[in-house]
Amino acid sequence: MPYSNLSVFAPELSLCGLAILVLVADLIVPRAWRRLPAGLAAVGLVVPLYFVARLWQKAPQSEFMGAYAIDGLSGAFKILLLVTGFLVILLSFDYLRKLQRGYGEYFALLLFSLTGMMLLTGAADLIVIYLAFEMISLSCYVLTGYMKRDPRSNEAALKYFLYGAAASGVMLYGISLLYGLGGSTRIIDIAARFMASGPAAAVAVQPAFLQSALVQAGVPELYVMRLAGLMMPLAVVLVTVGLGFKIAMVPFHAWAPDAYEGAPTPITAFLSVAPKVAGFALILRLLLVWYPELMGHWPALLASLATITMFGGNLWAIRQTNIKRMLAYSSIAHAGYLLIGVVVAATNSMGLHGIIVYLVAYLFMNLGAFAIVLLVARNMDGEEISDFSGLYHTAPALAAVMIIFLLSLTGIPPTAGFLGKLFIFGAAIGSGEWAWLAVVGIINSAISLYYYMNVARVMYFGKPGEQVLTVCPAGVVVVAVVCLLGTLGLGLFPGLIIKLIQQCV
Amino acid sequence: MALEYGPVGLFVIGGFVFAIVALGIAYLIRPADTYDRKLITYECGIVPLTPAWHRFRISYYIIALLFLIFEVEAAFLFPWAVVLRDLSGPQAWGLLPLAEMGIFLGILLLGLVYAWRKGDLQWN
Repeated sequence: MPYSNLSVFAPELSLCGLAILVLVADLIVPRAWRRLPAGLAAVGLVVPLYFVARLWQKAPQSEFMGAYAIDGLSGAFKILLLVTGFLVILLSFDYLRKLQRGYGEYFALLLFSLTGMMLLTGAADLIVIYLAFEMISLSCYVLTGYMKRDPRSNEAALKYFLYGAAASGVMLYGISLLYGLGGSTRIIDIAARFMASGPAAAVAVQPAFLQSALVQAGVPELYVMRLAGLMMPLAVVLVTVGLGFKIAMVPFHAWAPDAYEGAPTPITAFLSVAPKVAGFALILRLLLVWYPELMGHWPALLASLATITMFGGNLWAIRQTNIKRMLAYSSIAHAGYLLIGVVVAATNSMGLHGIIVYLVAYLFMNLGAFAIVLLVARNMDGEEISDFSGLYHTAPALAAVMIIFLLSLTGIPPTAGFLGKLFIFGAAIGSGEWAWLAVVGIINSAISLYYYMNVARVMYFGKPGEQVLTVCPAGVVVVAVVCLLGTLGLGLFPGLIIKLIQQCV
Repeated sequence: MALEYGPVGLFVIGGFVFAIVALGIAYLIRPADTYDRKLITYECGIVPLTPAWHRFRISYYIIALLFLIFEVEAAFLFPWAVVLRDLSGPQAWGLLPLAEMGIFLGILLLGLVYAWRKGDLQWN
């Protein structure tokens, strides 16, 4: 059958269809029932999840002439993305209660963005990668500026957009160089071209198009080789910039704190998890296909970037007084920890498993922390750390749950965050070469303890405000409970998830 | 050989020379009596109301966006129409190519209906 391969695309197709369905439903139903399309968006995620789970059991394959890959790796990341999407939709219901216009559109945009992320996890072609990038970014820009009447939301969207447009342009330039050197847009073909040309040394590559054109033009072959040897690292660096923007890696992080602070809080939660998941999926795919032929020096580059990302994120986080900004810098730091896993993954499958375990943990603990922030902000009408003051006295259960998320973000047992760090740092130590990265990571965990526990100190020893917590929106509470179960469950019973990941990836 | 690119270089140089010579001769021989009326922007013979740098209605933006979408749609339709006959029929993929374009157009049309129903085409 010529078109049977559409079945590998079922998760993305059904998700895209769901988004369109939500738009249509928003058009049809009367205003009083506007929650119906939103609920449809949440429940409907079961369909793509079902398709992902079904494809997960099949052997790895690539379709559309090698442009799209279906394997354990993309399957795991897709499940993470869908779970994130579901939890963020639950977080959004209450936050949007005052929204006058575009209620259903919000959820449709969220689903479109999610579609782009799913596409990115399986993308094995430079064009598909870029397409998915834009799909994610465009929806996210709009969602960041969704509170049209709030100047901060506008500012956040504009900064995010300008920075994103620049990063996307830089990455596109890198992609064009890769295409010029490799002679194909499919990443596997580019790798094959470089492998066929003999030893892995980057200087000795035989760039297809460029070489023939220049040699014909009378340039000596030696110079052509040297030129290509210079261009290849340049192309890889330019692509790294684009990826670094998506996962908020220092020094491409400047947009993150402002965008996170100004965006609607559920979207902040979404931005802090989902693009990172998708971005790391792509980084891993490029690494697994291109290392070491094209990317001999990539682990070293990423190791240095991981170091400054961890230090930058953690040190800046200390100074923050706004909880959303603090969590923004903390998410930058977590990107740094995850990068350690990428560096190790080049040579060792432990790193790969570590990244997935860490992302599962990060998903639960970060979304959980944002759920608590939403609950507090809903009642205190503020998002400063001082609004958490004395939370222990007014809402002891809430304070206790927040502490668990904070402990997990720090990486203290028996929580999910500990398991994630254990895997990543363990993999780094096991690799030998990169053991120093684990030391840097542990130092940074100690730094992060300060600002996470500062929130705990304010909650337990701060003077309680006059307001008490009266409003507890069901959606947010459900997310908090799910995330709490996830965080503790992963920390107390790690065997199950580890077994699943090792089997499938 | 580098000489293969020779014609391209000649073409570029020729283009520049032609433009400079044509404009230069026109500059030399045309009568030069300009006055304010003559220098204002030509807008289909109507006197312009405002300078070009003023605030435009945001509605223009939506209309332009919708126009652009259907413009691009046409760009996809032409290559599809050219190969449709070869792709269709019992030997090939039957009605599938037609259905695919139907889905594509349907989604785009849905966008138009959405903008219309949400009142974005209202001009007030």
